[in-house]
Amino acid sequence: MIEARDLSVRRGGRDIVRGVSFAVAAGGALGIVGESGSGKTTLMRALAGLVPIAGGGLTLDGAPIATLAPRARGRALQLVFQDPYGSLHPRHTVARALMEPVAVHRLGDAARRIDDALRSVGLGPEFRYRYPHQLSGGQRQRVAVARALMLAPRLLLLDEPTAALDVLAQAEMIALLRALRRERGIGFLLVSHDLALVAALAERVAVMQGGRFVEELDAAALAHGAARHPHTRDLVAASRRYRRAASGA
Amino acid sequence: MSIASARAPRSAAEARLRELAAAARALAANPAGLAGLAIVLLLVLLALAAPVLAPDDPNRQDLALRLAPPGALHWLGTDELGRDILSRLLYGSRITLAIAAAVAATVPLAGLAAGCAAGFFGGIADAVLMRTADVFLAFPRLILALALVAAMGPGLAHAMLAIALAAWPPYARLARAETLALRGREFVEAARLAGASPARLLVRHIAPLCLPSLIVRASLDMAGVILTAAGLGFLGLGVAPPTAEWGAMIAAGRRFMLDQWWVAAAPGVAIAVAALGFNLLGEGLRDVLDPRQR
Amino acid sequence: MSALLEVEDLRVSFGAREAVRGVGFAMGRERLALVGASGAGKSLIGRSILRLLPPGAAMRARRLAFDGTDIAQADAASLRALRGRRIGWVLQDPKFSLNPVMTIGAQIEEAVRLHQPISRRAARERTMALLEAVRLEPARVSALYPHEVSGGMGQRAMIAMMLAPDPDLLIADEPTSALDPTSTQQVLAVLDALVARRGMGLLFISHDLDLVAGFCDRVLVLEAGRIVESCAAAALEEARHPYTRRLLAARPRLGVP
Repeated sequence: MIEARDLSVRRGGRDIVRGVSFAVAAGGALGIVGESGSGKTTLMRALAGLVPIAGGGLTLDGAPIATLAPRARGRALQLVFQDPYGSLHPRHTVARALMEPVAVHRLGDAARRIDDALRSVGLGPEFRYRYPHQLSGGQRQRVAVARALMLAPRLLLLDEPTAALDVLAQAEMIALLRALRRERGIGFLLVSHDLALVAALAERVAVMQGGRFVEELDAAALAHGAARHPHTRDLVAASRRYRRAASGA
Repeated sequence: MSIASARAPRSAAEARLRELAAAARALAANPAGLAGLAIVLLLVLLALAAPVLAPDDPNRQDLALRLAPPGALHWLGTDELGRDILSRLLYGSRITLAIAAAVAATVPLAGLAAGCAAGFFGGIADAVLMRTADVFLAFPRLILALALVAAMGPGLAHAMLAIALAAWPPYARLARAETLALRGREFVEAARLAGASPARLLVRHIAPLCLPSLIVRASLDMAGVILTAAGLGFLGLGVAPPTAEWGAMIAAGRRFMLDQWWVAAAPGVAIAVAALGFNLLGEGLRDVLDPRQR
Repeated sequence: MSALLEVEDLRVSFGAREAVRGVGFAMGRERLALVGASGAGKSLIGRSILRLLPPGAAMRARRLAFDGTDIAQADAASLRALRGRRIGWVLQDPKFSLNPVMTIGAQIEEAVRLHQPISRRAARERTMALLEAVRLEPARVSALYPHEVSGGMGQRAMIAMMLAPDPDLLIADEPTSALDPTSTQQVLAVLDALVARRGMGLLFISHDLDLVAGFCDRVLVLEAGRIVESCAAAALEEARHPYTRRLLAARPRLGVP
């Protein structure tokens, strides 16, 4: 469905993403793992169209994405931002935030769409007229997901969707995202520094370092030591529970 | 986790009302702000009710009783033409408030429009708008207002226009600064991803967030506007006599300041109290509006 | 183990809402974890010990003592002597806790000289030693500004600064929550070595039970302002309280579908 070939993105005169290639089939999921500075967030923003692509090709259903009008692009893929505190307008109610894509694209039936979207992320209608500052981090992130679903995109881009959430809210978000994939057949492209999270949500995992993909493998194989690139092995080791050097106190 | 109240609001209007109520409560908890609000409201009331409250016709001269001290007949005494000072004060408040209202209604909005456009689009628009603002900012406000009135001629409308033209640049600067900070925020990007046009982003997403600081500024600015208006009146460049106007009253009373101090003191105190009221209100609003935003 | 910190019936409320409801525990020179979801009150407990609560918070405790000294009733001067010198505090995001306009070396030097009247040269040497102890290149990093270093490095610099006066107790409030896994491991390794070497007490506040299980000796689980479980870290897998079990199960683990 979406395919990138030798994608590169520049920012501030530097190559942040260098020659990245991948493909995600309709309904499939790819997880990209990388540390801070690996270029993963820039890659996501470039896919969403927020940052220009410097080189290489990005196609959607075979057609170059550059030929798509911005609105058509918005109906094909949507982005869920990392920071639930920043991605919602502080003075708009939940209903207003969800209404935005509907109003811009002039799809009628706003009330029903909003209720559907809220229900699909596990929030009841009592959340319609709440303001972001009245919601918890987990609830805000769910609203962000609901907003991304309003235009029924075929691919959801998720930028560190649980980084700002505590462990319980994270577990709920994981369950929600899995359910959404199951019920709607949406594809995922998700980015995180948390290897376990990525493996829990996507079948294939790509490891990013210094703007490049250094390895791509099946998530299931990761746990069984299939990682070959040293950086991947480092990440696997880092995802394990910390072991104390000395014992006793 | 942090749901504000147990029962969810059932409509957008109800949600907005609750936010306003919370803001009102916050303002009520601020004694300075409350005092300012009370003074401003009192001023508005007095201005509106002047025809009813004024004991006398403000322009009625009684030369036999000129420069009479405050007493039972004339609570604040009479001026050099025997006119009741209290009545002139009340009618004068209408002029002052009219100027303040006119400026408050137009200047922040004009500044918002210019500043948001400059901050959002950058480039030529930014350069043109901000350099224009710089030109107006380069002059001290009273001097600029003087120059403009001198060019256009005296009169209430011209005074309003002159003050407005002198007052708008700081609002534009403020709106521009806020817009620059806001345009990179994720909720703006999310709206862009939803397909919102730049105009929609500006009007529906960014401008509303710039408003609170502009409102605070406007309130704090009113004191300056009142003083500038009084200054123009003092120099005879405001409303034409014999219309009562606080600044003009001070100018007239200047000659008698030593012996018949009440002629200048009454309007002077009125100006001071009005300015104080707006300042206090602005402080209260700032505490209420600004920290809640981000 | 003498009680380094004693807390009995600590209550923190914001107006009518009670955020911390009757929390009590004691700790010696050990590693104690305080775990709970956001809003459970764990940061407030840390702040109560330092008497640095946000405005609007009201604190009450039957007993709140550090090394025998009553904190609840202490005056401002005694609290200042405690904070920094005997109780250190590491926060979540070094972007916000480090001074952005001073180099890292300058900040650590300032912290060193604040608690000890020594010459600038001696302070400089101590700063280099501290940076070395947290595994940062002393000469290079001391000249950098906070925005020029990564989150993990900033956090280690923060630890160096807090350990300058050799405190008895270190309160670490979500020290690794803003870091990626590799940086987390590095910061934990540094904390591990330093706490062990100096025999400090460590109060580790976190929302990640899995993280503290491998790092601390004892764990306190906090739910909605109350302690619902208290056990040795090694015994966590057998924990019985349903909330603890939820927290344990919540973290995704590699290889576990």
